[in-house]
Amino acid sequence: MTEHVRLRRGARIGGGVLGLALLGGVVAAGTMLPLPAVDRTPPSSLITPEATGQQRLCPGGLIGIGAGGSATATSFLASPSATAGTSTGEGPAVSRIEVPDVASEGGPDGSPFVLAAPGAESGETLLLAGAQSQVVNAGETVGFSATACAETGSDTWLAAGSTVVGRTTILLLSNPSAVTATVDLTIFGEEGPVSAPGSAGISIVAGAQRVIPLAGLAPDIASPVVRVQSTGGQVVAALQSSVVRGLEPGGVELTGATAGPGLTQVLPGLRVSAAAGDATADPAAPPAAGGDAAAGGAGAGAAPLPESEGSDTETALRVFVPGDDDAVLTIGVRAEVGSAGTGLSFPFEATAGRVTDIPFTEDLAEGLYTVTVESSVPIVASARSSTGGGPTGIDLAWFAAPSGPVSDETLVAVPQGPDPRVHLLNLGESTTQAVLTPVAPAAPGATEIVVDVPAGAPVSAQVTAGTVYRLASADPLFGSVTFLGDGQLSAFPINPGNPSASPLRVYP
Amino acid sequence: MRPRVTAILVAHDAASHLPRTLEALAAQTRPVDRLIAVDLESADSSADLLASFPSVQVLSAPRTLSFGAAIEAAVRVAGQPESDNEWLWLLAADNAPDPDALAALLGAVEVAPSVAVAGPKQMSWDDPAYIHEFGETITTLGASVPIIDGELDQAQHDNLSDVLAVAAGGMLVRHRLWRQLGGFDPGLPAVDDALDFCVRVRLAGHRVQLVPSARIASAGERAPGTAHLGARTPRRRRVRLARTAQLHRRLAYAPAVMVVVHWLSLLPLGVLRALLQMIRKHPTAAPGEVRAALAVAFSGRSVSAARRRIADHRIVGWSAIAPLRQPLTAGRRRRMLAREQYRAAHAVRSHGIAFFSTGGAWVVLGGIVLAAVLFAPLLGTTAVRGGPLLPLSPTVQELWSHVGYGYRDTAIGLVGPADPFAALLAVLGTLTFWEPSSIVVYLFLSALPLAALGAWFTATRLTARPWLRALAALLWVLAPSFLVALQTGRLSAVLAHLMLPWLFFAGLVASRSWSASAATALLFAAIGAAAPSLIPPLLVVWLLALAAGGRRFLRILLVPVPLAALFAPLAWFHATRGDWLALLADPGVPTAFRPGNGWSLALGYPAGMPAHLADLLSGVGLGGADGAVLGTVLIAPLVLVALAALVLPGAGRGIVGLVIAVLGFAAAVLASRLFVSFTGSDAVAVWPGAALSLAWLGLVGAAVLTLGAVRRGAVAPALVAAAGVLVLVLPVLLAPVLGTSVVRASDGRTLPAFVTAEAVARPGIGTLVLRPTRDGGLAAELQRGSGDTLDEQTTLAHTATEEGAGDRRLGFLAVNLGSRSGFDASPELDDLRIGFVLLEPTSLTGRSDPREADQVEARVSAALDENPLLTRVGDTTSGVLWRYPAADELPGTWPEEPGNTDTPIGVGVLAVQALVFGLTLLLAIPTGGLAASGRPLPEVRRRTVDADTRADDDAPRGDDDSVLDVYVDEPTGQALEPEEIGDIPQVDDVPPVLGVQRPEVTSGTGRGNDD
Repeated sequence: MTEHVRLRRGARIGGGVLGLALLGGVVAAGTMLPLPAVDRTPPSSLITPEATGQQRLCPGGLIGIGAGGSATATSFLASPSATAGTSTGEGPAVSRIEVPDVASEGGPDGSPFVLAAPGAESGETLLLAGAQSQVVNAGETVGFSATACAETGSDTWLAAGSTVVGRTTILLLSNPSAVTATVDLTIFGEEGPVSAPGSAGISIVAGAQRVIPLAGLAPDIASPVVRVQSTGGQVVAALQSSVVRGLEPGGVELTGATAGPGLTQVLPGLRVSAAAGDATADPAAPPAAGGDAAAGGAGAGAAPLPESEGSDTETALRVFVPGDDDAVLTIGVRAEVGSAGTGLSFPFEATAGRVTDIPFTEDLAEGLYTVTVESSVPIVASARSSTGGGPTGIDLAWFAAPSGPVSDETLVAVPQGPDPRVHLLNLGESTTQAVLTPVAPAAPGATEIVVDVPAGAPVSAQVTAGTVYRLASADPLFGSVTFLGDGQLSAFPINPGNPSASPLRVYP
Repeated sequence: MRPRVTAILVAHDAASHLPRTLEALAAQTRPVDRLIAVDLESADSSADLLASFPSVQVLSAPRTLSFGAAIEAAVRVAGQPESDNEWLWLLAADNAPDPDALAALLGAVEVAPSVAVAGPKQMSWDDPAYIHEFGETITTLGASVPIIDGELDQAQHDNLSDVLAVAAGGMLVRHRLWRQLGGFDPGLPAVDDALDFCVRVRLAGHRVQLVPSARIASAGERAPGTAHLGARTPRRRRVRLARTAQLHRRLAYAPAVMVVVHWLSLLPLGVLRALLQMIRKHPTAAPGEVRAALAVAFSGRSVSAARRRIADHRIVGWSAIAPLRQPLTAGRRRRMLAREQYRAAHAVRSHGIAFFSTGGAWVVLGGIVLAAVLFAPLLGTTAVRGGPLLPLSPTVQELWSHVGYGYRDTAIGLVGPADPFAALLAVLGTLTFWEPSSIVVYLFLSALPLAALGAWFTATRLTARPWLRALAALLWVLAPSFLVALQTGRLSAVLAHLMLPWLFFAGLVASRSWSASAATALLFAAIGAAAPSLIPPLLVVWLLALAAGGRRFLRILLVPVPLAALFAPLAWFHATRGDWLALLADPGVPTAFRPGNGWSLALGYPAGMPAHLADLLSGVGLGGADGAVLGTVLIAPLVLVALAALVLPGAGRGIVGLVIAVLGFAAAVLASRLFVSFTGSDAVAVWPGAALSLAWLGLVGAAVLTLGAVRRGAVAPALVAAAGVLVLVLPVLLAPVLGTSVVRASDGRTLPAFVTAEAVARPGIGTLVLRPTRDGGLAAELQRGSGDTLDEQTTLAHTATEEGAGDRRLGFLAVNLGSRSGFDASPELDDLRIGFVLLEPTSLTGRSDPREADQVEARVSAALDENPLLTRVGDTTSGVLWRYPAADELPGTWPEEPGNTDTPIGVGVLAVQALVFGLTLLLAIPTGGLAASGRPLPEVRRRTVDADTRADDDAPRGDDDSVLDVYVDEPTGQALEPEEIGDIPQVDDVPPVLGVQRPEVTSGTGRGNDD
């Protein structure tokens, strides 16, 4: 009897342990084992919209406010020269739009022009690109500026300029379309959103440009970021920013849109010139480029006047965090292959809702760099750099972020200007080859350029001014075009061409 | 002149009965003059046994012969009778006569020359003290009934004499008359052959007499019989044969003018009677009714031959036999007695559930209070939104138009089968027919008490202890998968969780009654429709139950039939796509989620670990520790209690629960890795929550059984387990109050009010809904009228791995509208009757870069703004809306054709599904009274009751044996015919009452109930 009971108990415990092992095995297998998954790709198709006419708008000449002697009168300071072409070699049709805010009598005609071309020619998508450049030397506004001709958009971010004393920032809103556009501006500054009466419901009639001094809406903002949203017609927005330090001009730049909020922003082709960034470092710089930071603006003639540390001659990054969460940034400055400088990388915390200018420390030596900003939340970014050394003094440039990488084929228009370079960054996994082939119009001496773009390391190539290049690459590349000369510095990003008519992946 | 008797003995595989019969023949005090034995090609030693008998003439005949045909063969051998005093004595192999049987029969016929047929008293083969059968008659409408059967023989019927008919076994018949009448009717090969013959004898002017002193054995249903009807003939076939025989006789006996009427009524009556058999829970008898009707209706010449046979020899009118029919009162009395016996055997049984006295009502009340607190924000609303929730169609007709096979509202429409879920929604929506969508609100409001109710009832199958039942209900309500489903608006997972306990409540007794089996089948179909991911694990459970099912396996075998009928069209459609896995896709709107890893699934959380666990840890100074560890600690008590079933004596049935838990977990893990549906650019996994509910059910069941097996000290571990689970789920439970639930009250609109207002007058107007996807693409869909409804959703569209032509057409239109394009969209907008374009904001999940989606949104918005065909209406809660003014000229309808009854396939699908579900429903509805009214005769009833209500070792049983609440509803044998009532008084005024009955049925004590 007891034997029987013991046997039964033993069998039960044995069975229990076995069962426990089985159960444990199944749960462990479900928890630990890398089980195969049926992971399917949703059906989709890449559809190319039917081609239609495309156009680009070049924002036109720099504008002087009060240039004609009166405090309010505005006039054009220069008539920019444009370089534009299409992938077939035929030039685009060029027309101009009116700028009713500017008295054009007498002075140069800097009204914006519109480049138009068909969307496709005999079935092939037609590429169109154009860019303008201008040198001004008109009293307080001195310098060189190159700007790409842009496609119209309904939501544009501008990150440049300043409205503190001596800084003039003018918003240029061009509406090349056939209907009136209603524009709402949202301005952010270093203290957060700026309440600006009159910034909403700005009406821009068809085929006209409005000139709006930013100081009128948001005075005394050191680091403005402007979001331009339009309904009705679409607009091209640009910011003209100029600097006067005391009585000395500090440069001018006409900057187009930067990329919208994103977790990664790339600013290719940041040119750090010795004259502004580290004035003592380069004895070969033109004499006027002296200006030590400690010297406190003792430069003679047209010499740069770097003010105390933190002045706007410093190379700096501008970051805006549009959301509600603070951003944890990883800022990487990569030196270009073959460039003198060395890169650096540092973390930064940016406050939500505010614009922050992050000056690069002085160990950013003269050279060619590409700035990448990785963020925990979407941000908007741009960078600023200055150069001294020209007979006209300091010039500054704003580096906007391209709205995305370009791949396949893109047209890049390089306008007239000193030392034009095309900068490329490949964020892929492997080295890719980029080919720049001149198409009409091509300046004499323009030749095909082949560049190997290694993964993660920015490169640049010297190109010929006044030439339209076809940029071909198998992998996506972030790019920009920059110019640097004595007292002349400017840049614009290479944006994907005709984005509103690009193929779109559609899911049912 | 001395009578001459030729005995004819028919044997078919009768070696077990022949020795006794042959011995009895040899022992006759009045020996037969001649013995002709007919061996129907017996496979056993019957032929040898017959041959070894002295002075026998053995004939070998084909085994296909009926009893009557075998006699006929022997009669041909016997030669022509020379006088009227030559007799045939018909014997089957089990008809062992008493030694003086033949003498008594001859004695009776000799004194009455008008008697042409004499029949002995058939005694039970096993127990000769009992009468097996004594005389046969028919009711007014022609059903055959035995006059006396299944009674203890106390000579109480020995005064019976003239009757309508006697049984074939032991019948003594005048040889000449046999030849004259042509023997038994070949149209009656098995049943009623002797009855029919006797009727013809009566009509030919002769008498049929019972001889009580002649006794002969009969093995009844266990008799070897013939190939047509023998010991091995299943019951359903006997029922069919009896019905066939009755219908054959009906046509044969009817007046000529009525034959056509009877013939036309055969099939409709057959179908009606088949339905009646379903209601009476005799599903196995139902097909026989229709087959019998068909067999008689198309029996060729056998009816006309039978009619001619009667007409040729009839010399008296039918009225002559009328007094011999069973009187109306006798029939009524018999049925009443049978009903009383049935009720005595069944209705007195206690339910054992005791809903009110063991706390079930309190548990449900607690659930109601909890739900009222938690879901207070939803009180008074008529619609909810959030997650995959959508409203239902506004009318019941529309709901039902979306089931079956027909037009499916996808892209620009396709024709295919509906999801089975649509049928479930149609049923649910019909419950609140005044506003179908409100059923969803009611379901969410009442989910907690309903879950408690289901779990409580299922627990009554496992334990009698009130507090354990309450514990099961509490744990079931606190299931993480259930609460997460409630919080995220996963209606189908909620439905599955609510129905699962009932599935097991019915399923645990499915082998005992057809009613429970049919209820299980319906619940299985409904659960499968709501959560197809539960079908594979439940099929495994079904297979295990089948293996353990024993002899009632048919009731378990048929459980998946309604599910199969429901899924067959969809399975066929997916099979043509070569994509079986798509069958497992969740119905409804695919909603992206990140499936939890194995560990979080093991804790019952389908979509990732709850955040509060880590917060709790950091709250006690253990920040940084893994929340999963705390979760494991919290759930451990419950798991340990359940696992104790493995080793605890008396908790063995808990192992079944553990097996179910493991099956559910495995199914959940597999489901979470099955990305088969798509929404925009996201592939969506099958929701693992439903399978986790199954796992939870197994776990809770095992825990309850373990605690029930422990005599004392069970309360403490139970409290610890419940407390652990409560902490594990508390924030999820409180989500509706905390506002973290995505399920919110809504006004029932999914599209902007501007569109719904327009859709009132123009229900076919289309709205092109564009939504930028995370990867910089564009999801485009076309909604009609006031927007998508839940019952319109179809996995045909959501699981398609390739674009259809409609998708491409819509995609081309969407891209061109959303781009700077030279495409003239107006013909396409007109053709698709699109009146609105809605640009929805991207739904971003987690940390994803919005830039690409933002760019697409800006681009599409700009392009739509620029488009001269469209007018911007403005920002709405659902997105930015544009109007296509030219659509005002378009017709406001969209041909949603074909409907589900417009194609032969659609009609066929609906018909088959309606048939299967109708029959299952008939079976499932408890109809105790009807079942009782269709009681079988006593002889057969005895065994049925024994088998069904007495100790059944293989079925789970509650702690006390009173937990038997189902009607044991399958009787056997013939049923009385309720529609055939009416009678004529009988000459013989001795009522054929069931005088003395076998007593096992009611009392179970000794026999000999003195009457």
